[in-house]
Amino acid sequence: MLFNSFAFAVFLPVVFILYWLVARGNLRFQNILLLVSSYFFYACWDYRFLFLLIFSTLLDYFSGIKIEAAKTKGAKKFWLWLSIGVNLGFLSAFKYFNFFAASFAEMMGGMGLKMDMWTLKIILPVGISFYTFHGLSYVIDIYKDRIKPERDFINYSVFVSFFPLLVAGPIERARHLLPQIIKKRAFNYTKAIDGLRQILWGLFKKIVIADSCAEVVNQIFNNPGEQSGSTLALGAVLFAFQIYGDFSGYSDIALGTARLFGIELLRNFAFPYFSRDIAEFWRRWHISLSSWFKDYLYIPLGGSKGSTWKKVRNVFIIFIVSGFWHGANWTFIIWGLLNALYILPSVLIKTNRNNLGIVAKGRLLPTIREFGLICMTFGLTVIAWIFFRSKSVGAALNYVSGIFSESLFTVPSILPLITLFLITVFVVIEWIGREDQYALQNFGFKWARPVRWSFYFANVWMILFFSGNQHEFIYFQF
Amino acid sequence: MKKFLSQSAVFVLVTVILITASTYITAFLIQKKNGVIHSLPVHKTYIIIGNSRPALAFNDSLINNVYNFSSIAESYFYTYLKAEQLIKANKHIDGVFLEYNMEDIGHKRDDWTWGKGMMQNNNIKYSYAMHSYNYKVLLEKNPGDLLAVYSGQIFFRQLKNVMLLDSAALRSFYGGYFFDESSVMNSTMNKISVNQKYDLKNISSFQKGQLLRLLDLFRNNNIKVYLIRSPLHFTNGKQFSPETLIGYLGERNKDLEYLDFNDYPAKTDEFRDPAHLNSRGSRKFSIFFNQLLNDGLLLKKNKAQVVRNELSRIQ
Repeated sequence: MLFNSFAFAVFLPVVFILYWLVARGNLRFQNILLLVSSYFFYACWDYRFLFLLIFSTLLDYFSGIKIEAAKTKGAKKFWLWLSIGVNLGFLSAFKYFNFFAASFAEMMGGMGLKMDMWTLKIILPVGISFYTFHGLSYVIDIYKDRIKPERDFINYSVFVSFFPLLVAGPIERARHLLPQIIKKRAFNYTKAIDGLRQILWGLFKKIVIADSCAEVVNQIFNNPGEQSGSTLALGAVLFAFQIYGDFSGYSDIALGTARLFGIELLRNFAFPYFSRDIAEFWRRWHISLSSWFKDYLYIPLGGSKGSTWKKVRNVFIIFIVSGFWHGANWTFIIWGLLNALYILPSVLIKTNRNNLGIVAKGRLLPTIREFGLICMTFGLTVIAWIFFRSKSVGAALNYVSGIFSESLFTVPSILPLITLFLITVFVVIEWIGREDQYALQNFGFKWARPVRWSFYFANVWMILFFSGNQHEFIYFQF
Repeated sequence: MKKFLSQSAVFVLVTVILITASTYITAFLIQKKNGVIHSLPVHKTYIIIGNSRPALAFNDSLINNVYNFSSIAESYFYTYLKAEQLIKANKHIDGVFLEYNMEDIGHKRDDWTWGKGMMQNNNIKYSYAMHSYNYKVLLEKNPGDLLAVYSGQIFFRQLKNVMLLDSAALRSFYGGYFFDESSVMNSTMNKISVNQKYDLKNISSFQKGQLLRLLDLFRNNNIKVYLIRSPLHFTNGKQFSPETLIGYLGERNKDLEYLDFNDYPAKTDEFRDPAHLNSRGSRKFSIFFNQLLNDGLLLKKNKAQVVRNELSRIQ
């Protein structure tokens, strides 16, 4: 069930009404309802994988209890590694087996040994990378004594399977989400309205911006050899907006939906394309994943402390793993590697925490310097996105070399004026709202109600107008 | 909670009004543009209609007085709606070449009629022209998906087409010669079993009924119908004879003429795939077809035999 589907438009109000009007403050009933709805939501994709989700939930639930109950460090470690091993085992089997098999065969082929490798016809269970990471953070936090295990299985299952975040995050932490699930929730009008507004903005980003860009991007990336440098550059820029609109749009819908049920999820995006350097970009892009890697990988490895060699090693590890998390393809690894190269100088000369605040806070426009830095950072991310989008590293390299040719200074052969106009309007609204949690949070808040509502209706109308070709969310494949 | 629900209800109500208004505006705009979509140049006195096979086979820029208005993956159920609009907008049409082969009345075409994807595509095109009969059929056959298809998106997609496409693009959305220079014959040849037999059990009485409706529509408007079969690659095996195919259409249609181009000798690389010519194949074939027309094929008595003779001559 896609967030941008008719089925979800029916599903959400039904669950909402049952949750607030039928359950009427009965926490137990509300949580059971959330769990059943979440499993139904997931089963709509493929009911067979529901068993995998339930197995993973059971494993982490019991591992958490066992870790706390264990008397010795060894026993604690055993349960921790059992959970990590099985979770990552499933993830590897479903997501990475074919990649390793093919890469191994290729390597052997390069050494003159012909390997007849067999690969499996594996369907990737939707959301596996996300709920696996939920579970891992839970057991690691118990092992590190940061949290106590949740003894109520229903509560724990809701933490893992809560439908707004189940298939594409944000990747939640037990210490943030579990207390909200355990606590009695009361309906809050302001929060519910805020949730609806965020859903509206998320749909706008996904359907109006991302899907409009997708049509042009597919056209350009499918036949890069036939395009001029300027068209290729335009395609790469549009992909940057596509993936941002797609993923941050999904996150907005997830956050807004959760808020309707009185639950606050972790923020996942904070206007990343207004970043002044790559380090800031990574503090603003897919925040829940970046912070997950920071807390459970980067800092345990030593972070930015220690010798220069260690700093370099840690930066490369975290970005390569991050690339690999996105998928079993060298393109993602190169994408991670490129980002590591971008960020490394600032880590080494300790300027990576220079831009912690909001750009041009309290001002209408950025300074020329800030604007230059924003453009430069955006340009670097666009080049990295080419690897993310391309089918192979070779195709990405050809694409990049195609951009930097003489035809870069010609008029693009594909000029989607309407899409470019929409992007301009979108960037302006995002810029105006950059000090809030999401662009529309306080946008037009002081306007008279008829004007404000007209603006919302215009949004709805645009969403319907552009909702022709339903594209799946890009991050579902991860 | 009360305030939230009442405000949400008002919002939804206004949205519904917005969609309804857009629906009417869209229908109005499409009706207004009906001329752009369906009016054909006056020298085009014959039309070709059907699915992807004629859409790829007949390059009408090479055929003097024929307009190819075929459309990919279109079943007779929707072709009927198109034909109604064409008849309304073109009083000068003398005849129609209608693609007809066994699979066109087969059960697979049911999916082209009420399967979700095809229903969505075709309803975007034709909802403005549909009658209560059409809705009744779709509602009976696939109510769930019909509801999803009509969740408001159809009208917005129509409106998007009307607003954003120029006249030529808008017309080609409804049908036209489909230029495709690719060929996937090498990759598909091995997968094809020669001499496929069509099982008579696969005939859909619904699809056959739609074809009969279509034939009646043309008959009632005094438009001459020529059934055609576009070229097929030999790997498709032996096809049902024209006599057999006409035989399925009952007593009323027994005198219909069937121009069978199944055996047109196109080379393998002139096919896109075993069922469709590519642009190279369609170029040669269209020149051949145009020559037949110029030689007065439609004035001759036994047209089917003339076609057979010409095909034997060029083998």
